[in-house]
Amino acid sequence: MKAILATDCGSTTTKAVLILRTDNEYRLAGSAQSPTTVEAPYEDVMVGVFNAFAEAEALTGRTLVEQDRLLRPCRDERGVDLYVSTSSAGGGLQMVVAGVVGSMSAESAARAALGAGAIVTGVLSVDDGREDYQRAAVLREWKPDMVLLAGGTDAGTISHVVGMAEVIRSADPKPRFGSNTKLPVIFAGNKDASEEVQRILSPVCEVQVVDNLRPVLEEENLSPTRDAIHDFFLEHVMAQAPGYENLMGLVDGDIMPTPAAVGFLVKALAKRRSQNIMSVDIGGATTDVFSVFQGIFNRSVSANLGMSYSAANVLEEAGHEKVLRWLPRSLSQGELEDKIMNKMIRPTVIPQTLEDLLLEQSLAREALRLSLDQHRELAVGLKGIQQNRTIGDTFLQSRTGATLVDMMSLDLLIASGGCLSHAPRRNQAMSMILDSFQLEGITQVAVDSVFMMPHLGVLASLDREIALQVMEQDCLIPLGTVVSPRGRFRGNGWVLRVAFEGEGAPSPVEVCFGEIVLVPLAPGRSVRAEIRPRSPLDLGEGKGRPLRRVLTGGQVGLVLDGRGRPLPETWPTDQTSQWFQSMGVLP
Amino acid sequence: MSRGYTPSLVVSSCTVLQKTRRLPLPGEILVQEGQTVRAEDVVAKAQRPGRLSIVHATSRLGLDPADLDKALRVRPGDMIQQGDLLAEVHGLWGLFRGHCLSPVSGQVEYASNTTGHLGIRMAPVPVQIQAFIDGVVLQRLGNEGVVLQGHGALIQGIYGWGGERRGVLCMADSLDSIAGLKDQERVLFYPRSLTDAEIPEIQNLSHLAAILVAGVPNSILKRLCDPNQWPDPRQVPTLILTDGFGQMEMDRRVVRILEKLQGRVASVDGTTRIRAGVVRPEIFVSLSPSEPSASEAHSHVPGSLQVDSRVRVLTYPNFAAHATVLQLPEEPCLIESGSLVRVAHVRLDTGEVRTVPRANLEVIVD
Repeated sequence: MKAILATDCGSTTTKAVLILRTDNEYRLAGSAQSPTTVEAPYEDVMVGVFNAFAEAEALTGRTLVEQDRLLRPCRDERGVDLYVSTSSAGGGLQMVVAGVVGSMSAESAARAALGAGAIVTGVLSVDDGREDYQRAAVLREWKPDMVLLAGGTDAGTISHVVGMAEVIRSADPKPRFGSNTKLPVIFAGNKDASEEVQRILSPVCEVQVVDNLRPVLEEENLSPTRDAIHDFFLEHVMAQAPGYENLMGLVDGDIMPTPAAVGFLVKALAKRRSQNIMSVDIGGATTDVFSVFQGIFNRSVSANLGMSYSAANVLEEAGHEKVLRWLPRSLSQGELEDKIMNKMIRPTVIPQTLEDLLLEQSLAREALRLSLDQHRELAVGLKGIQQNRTIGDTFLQSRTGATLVDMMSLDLLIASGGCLSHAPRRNQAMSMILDSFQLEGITQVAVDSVFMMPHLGVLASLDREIALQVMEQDCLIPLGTVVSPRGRFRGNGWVLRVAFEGEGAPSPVEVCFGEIVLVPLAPGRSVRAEIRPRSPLDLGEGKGRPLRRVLTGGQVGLVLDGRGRPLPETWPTDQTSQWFQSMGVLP
Repeated sequence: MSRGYTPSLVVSSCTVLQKTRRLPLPGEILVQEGQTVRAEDVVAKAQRPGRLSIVHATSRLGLDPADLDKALRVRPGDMIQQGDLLAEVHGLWGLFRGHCLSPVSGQVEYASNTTGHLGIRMAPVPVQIQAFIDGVVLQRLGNEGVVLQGHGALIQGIYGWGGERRGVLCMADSLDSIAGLKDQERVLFYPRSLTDAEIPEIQNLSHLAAILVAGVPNSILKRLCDPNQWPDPRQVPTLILTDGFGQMEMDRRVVRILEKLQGRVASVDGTTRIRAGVVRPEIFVSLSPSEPSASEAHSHVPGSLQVDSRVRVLTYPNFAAHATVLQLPEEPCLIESGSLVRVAHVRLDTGEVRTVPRANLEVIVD
């Protein structure tokens, strides 16, 4: 295979990347973008796709299209051998999940839907505090592309899940696309209820029954549900969207929902590196967080946390004080609100002044912080299960449903999204990640250079080796390594001492509590270091216990963060300025 | 080559507007292609299926769901009235009876021995749509709706709140002066931003069909759009901002057009969608084909950014300023934020020349 073309049809932009084989390795040859054309006046996704092809041709000088046809296979340095695509156009795959118990079957259903690349726009459960008519009303209002119904262990009670099926029938929800089609419903609950659920729902919905996603309390079986979501997405959602029939005919393999492709790639990378990895993608409307800890994959979508369409909601959820604390200059609450509302109603606008850029980055910090909180709540062990405890566990207050997110064990964080990938200074991206995610221990940070993780994700589903090769070479831009001990310190003096080893190594560094120190270390360079946190601060080895590690550089370098964890809720305005100066945020 | 996308808003004293009027579900189209319609004419109607009401019969009667059949006094398909007996149970020696009465009128759709619930489908709800603008039926869309074409003045705003309303257009220099205008439904336009000091008692605005303003601070928007602040939460006036949030003046051209149309009936739609498939709020005033300006009307297409384009600046420090494009340099330019972007050189209406990222300009199509 010599040439691969991939597109991601987003809500606003269709992005194309061209990958070419040179000297036995695959490299990014160029990327291009064009407005997505799913909506009026074009109402045909193919217009935007071919515009993106044309842009890619112009940028790379390679002919891809002739007489309105994509040239395949490639010959004489023209055309491509493989074309793949992802899609989140029209707002992506929007699902409602319904279950019996909110923290059990409904939560498992949400994990299944999110893992399949959906945005969960609403959750219904028997214990959600609503009356039936209210559940029906909100379901009509949410207008999903698809509903996932779960509940009841196999051979358990069936009346509750059948009752939820009645609610869905009473809502008689209509799909967003295709006024003459029935809404797809996947039933993944108690197998004994499947016949009754089908009988109730089939007059108004297209029902597919799959294996119970929670056959017993102690087990989640999400794969059959995720496969069914993928099939329904292609057959019922994609096929109804304007122009997608032609796109489906053009691609090799299946079109993947964009987040499903990113998730696939993150899982593949975590497996390849045997690392704990998180990836965050902050968009205009939503923020996706993906994680793999101890081999367990989780994805959360914060549907109302984003930098433009959802900007006002970020302010609402975070509160004015939380946003304003990241600004080096004061701003009235009224001005803050008006600026953010203006960004919301004109989402394509970019900050022109430094002041507006810092405001946008303040908002990003809070959106990222809140989305990580939501990810922590979703990425948990199963709730409601019986645990076998030994006498040794008696004093451990661990409970079921504890979060799997352990920042201290995180090896790599990958950041993407306009405000992170396109920050005018890479130091600004690093600073946003550091402040919002409050990294702990020793963590590498990288950004997705040109938003190509979706493209590489769908490519990975066909050829993992090529996708990972391009990811390591061209997609990930290393920003550097963060060293940040957990805990609070009272008193003065140093809290972190770092001694570097080897020829040409940086001089030893001492970091006082509340300080950040930046040590330049170029991309591709690494240095062995002995790091000593001052008790009670902890870098994962215990309070005050030193450790030796190889630290890798990046476009920002090594960040030694002596602020402790967690960060306080508020601090004086001049403190923000000092941190920004230390981090190289300001010009 | 594909083209860059520049957002645009129409500000026209006379345009040809095509408006799709679509039913929420298939129904009956009441007009023919080529037929002349008035804004208030009903052009299509449909019957929305009634809601399904779920009655928890066995839990009300203290029965096991499996015993529902024994207690049922109705069967699927039966038509019933509110208060009719659905199910009953006889207690000890027949002395104590439990009743389950229907909370709604309708048709029994199902009775489930699994859940013990009854589903009652209520009567269908009639739905109809009006033309909303004066014009001619251009196309019938099967049994789903029609496309109308009309001539008139069209102003697109940037953000709206509320749905379709019609009323007589009138201008107010101060909001205090409108308290007396209660003789008919009015669409009020106010060529500046509202401030807290200018907002009269909300009761004094409740007779308005719509309010058009250059902008409002978000704090005022929250008050105006809170249904609980109004005497009748179902009659909150539609609100349209022509420029944005904060303090600003309305574009002089918009003011001139609206001033000339005072006393005419305006069709105002506050519907706004910011995400893909952008929908902006609009004010349309129909012109009769016999009026001289109507013959000059032409359709407007989304604008592209060119030298001499009329534009609105969308970011600070010149937010909401109106300007004319002087130059569109090809090479990206470093701006104050530190980003390297493509820019335009524009002359503000106040005379100053500024360099603005192209992404931060909105073309005004006239």
